Amino acid sequence: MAQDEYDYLFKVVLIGDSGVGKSNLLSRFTRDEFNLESKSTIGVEFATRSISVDGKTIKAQIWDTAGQERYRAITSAYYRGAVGALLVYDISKNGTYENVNRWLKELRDHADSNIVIMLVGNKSDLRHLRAVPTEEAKKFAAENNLSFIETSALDASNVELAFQNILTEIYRIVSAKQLDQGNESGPRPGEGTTITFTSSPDEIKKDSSKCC
Amino acid sequence: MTVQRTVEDTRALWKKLFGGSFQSLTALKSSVINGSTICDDTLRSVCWKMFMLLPDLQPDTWGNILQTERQKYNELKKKYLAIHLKRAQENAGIPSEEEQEDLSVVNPLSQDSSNPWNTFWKDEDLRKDILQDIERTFPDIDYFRDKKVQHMMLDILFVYAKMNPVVRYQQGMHELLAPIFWVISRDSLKAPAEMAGSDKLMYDTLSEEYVEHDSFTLFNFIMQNAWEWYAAEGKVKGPSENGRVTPPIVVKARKIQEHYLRNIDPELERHLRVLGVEPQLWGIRWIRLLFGREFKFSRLLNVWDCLFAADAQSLDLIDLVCIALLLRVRDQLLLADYTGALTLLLRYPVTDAMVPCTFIEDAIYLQVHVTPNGGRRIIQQYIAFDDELDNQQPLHMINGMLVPSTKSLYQQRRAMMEKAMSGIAKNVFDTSERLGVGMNKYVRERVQDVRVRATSAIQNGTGSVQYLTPETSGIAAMQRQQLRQNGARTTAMPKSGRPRNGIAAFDEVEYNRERNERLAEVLATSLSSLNVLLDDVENHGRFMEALDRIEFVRKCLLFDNLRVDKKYTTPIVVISPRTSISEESIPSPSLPVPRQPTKLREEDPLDSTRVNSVSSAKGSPSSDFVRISSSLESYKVSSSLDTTSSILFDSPPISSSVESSSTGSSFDAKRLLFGSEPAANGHASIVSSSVSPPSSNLFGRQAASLTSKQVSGPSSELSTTSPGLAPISVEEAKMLLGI
Repeated sequence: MAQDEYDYLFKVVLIGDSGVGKSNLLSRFTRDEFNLESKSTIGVEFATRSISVDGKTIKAQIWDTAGQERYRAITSAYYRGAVGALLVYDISKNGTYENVNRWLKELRDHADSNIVIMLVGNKSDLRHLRAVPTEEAKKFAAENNLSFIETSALDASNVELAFQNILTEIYRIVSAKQLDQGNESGPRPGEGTTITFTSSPDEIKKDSSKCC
Repeated sequence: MTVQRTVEDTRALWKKLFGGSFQSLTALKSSVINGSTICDDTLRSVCWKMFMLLPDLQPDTWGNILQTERQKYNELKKKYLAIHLKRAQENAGIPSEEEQEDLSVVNPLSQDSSNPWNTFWKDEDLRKDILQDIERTFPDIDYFRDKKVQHMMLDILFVYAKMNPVVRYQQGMHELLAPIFWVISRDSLKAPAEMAGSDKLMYDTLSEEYVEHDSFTLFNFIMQNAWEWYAAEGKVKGPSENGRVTPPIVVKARKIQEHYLRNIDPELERHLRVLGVEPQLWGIRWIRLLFGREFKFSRLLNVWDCLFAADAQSLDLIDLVCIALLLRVRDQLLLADYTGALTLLLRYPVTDAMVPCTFIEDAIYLQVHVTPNGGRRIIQQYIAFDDELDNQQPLHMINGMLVPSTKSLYQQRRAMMEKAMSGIAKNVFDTSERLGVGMNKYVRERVQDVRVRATSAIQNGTGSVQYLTPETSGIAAMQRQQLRQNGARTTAMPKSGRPRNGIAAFDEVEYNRERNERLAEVLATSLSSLNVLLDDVENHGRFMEALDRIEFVRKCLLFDNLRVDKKYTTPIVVISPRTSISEESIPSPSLPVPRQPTKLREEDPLDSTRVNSVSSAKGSPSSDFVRISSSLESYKVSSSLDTTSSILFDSPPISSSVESSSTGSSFDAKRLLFGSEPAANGHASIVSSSVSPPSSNLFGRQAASLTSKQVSGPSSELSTTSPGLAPISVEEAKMLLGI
């Protein structure tokens, strides 16, 4: 059960159109697996992996949902407690990039306003089919205050980095926040803290029950 | 495409299905729910068509039902796929027969609102969405990579989406369609130019030409109920939160957890609630795909066989199927944290030992038993008879003290008995399989029969399940299969390495027979006491003693070298109970049913003393005496083996199967030799020395006189033998043990 010992538990959600490779990003990061013909996600999928940042163990609880889950039967449960979001598009399909704005709106509507968002252009291995220029996406990300990276779940490039970056960014914000608050009683090793930006006591209560 | 069968093979399967093995469609359905493999063994597509659409098991009564549906689909295609069909025709070089259109309106660039090309482009987007999922349908099954198959599935889902603009196409529908399409395609036949008249119905039903049509029809049939699970918030009426209508799938998932689970397994419901596991997180996929991701393809087909046989018309049963799945992993869930619980539910651990139809059977049972007792009964089927697990069960007694809980003593004890019986039957099978000798088919079925009756007797209420037939042969067959699958050992691996040939084998049989004879005695003494003691507070030690004897028999069946000590065949003398029995603590069958034809000998002089201790106790002022008398009966039984005991079990006309899915249990020598800890009080002395009140002798005498009175007067008010009850005699106990 050593794996279950962590300092921080961060919930990160994957969003983006159907078929952009969310499930494969998840499986590449958590199990180092890739499946060219993976089934469509129905409802949610969910996996965890722990990484180390500044000597602290961060357990990432990563949620994946169906891109075509238009009517969001699980919206509230999906975004509840999420501190990070990977907004994924397919660099070979312009439509999936065009929909990024729709997904941003979705985040504004349902997620915590402080959620850390990373724009991810996936399928970077499909160079010959590229439809979305890197510079364009980079510019869009900067304008919208998002971090940005291009990945390939297929050849594994940048997948690790993408998750490392967003988890580190969340960690920095969280530890800075703790410092600001003069929070001396930091989390003890093995005990873990679920970080939530929501200050509603209800939320905190719910989440603290999850970290065990 | 799938490899089609030959006409001859198909004809044989057709005959097998309609050849009179089943008297009616209802009988066929019952059989499927009971675990029959008839859908695997014949033509699954025809079975499904009958479960959904066709009125009877007689093909000549089907009329034009299929033809009408096929025609409807043709018209829908014409309506929604006009341009696609036209383009396809043009591509194939077939000139259009339609009148010349006004090209100023009907052309791809016209903005005119009546231009069909406007919707064409929107439709193309829809088709792209659908195709994206179709290309990812069951990636590991080559059949679905066939472009022709994909195209037909696309058309079906597209037509469905067009005719249902409220739900359109949603992800997941493709995986409801895929198995249907595969099943129909698998059975399809290419109709020859000429055919014998007798084959016509078969060809009509299975025509290759209509695979797409029939798949649409069955898919559309399922969607009559399933569409809601895909419907969006705000598009359907229902309860609302924050001004938004809650999607029906969420309402359904909540109902499963907050109504069904809360009533059936409050402990598990509370655990999931405290963890914050919202039911829609797992429910959405389980329900939308009808468990398509939980079971592998071949097993999914079995799940659907049973589901469609049981409830194709409403599919309401799936709420309870969800509960059945939850109960099967409840112990793991109860130990899990949030991550663990959600992981378990999203990657449900179906094993090969889980027989698909048992989930449906459990669901059918639970549908009419939405109570903690109903839940407990299902849970206990799947709990290993294991001391450690026992200790986790809230049912157990600790040092003879009653566990303070809302559950009645009766219920707790009934559950323990049920568990003990499950263990016995399992070990009877294991033993005979290990020895490779002994029990013939008849005896095995009798064991099941006895056991099914025993378990239904001790279950709550009627124990009847609507769909099951009185014949237990189907159940027995399924249970045998299940026992083999779930059992710790297999026939191929005899536990003992002893030679199995010649005299040695004969000796073994002989040894086994004698030993079993004694075990039958042990069983008779305990069983005769158990029913009497079910709700008896004062005789807790006796109850545990009786239970331990059953446990002892179980262990003897497990380990050939255990000696059957004589002390186990001495009667368990019950202290006169002074407690009153409340009416509601004794469930009785709600339906009076005819006595099962059991092995009663008409000429048995003791027959008139067969008193149903439970039912006669009910409401009878002299219930105490009756119970004493029956305990004395058991004394007689054990002292003279050829008489019959008065253990009575009610036998509902129909019973659901009870199965232990335990993977064997550990042998606890300490418990066996020194008695189980909970039963420590009063266990040490088998005959009532430790707790006997001073009046016990007096009561014994009183009871003895009452017994003789009963014998002489069969019409006595005390012998209120219920017509629904059938006794288990020593003979039957012997039968149970295969001797």
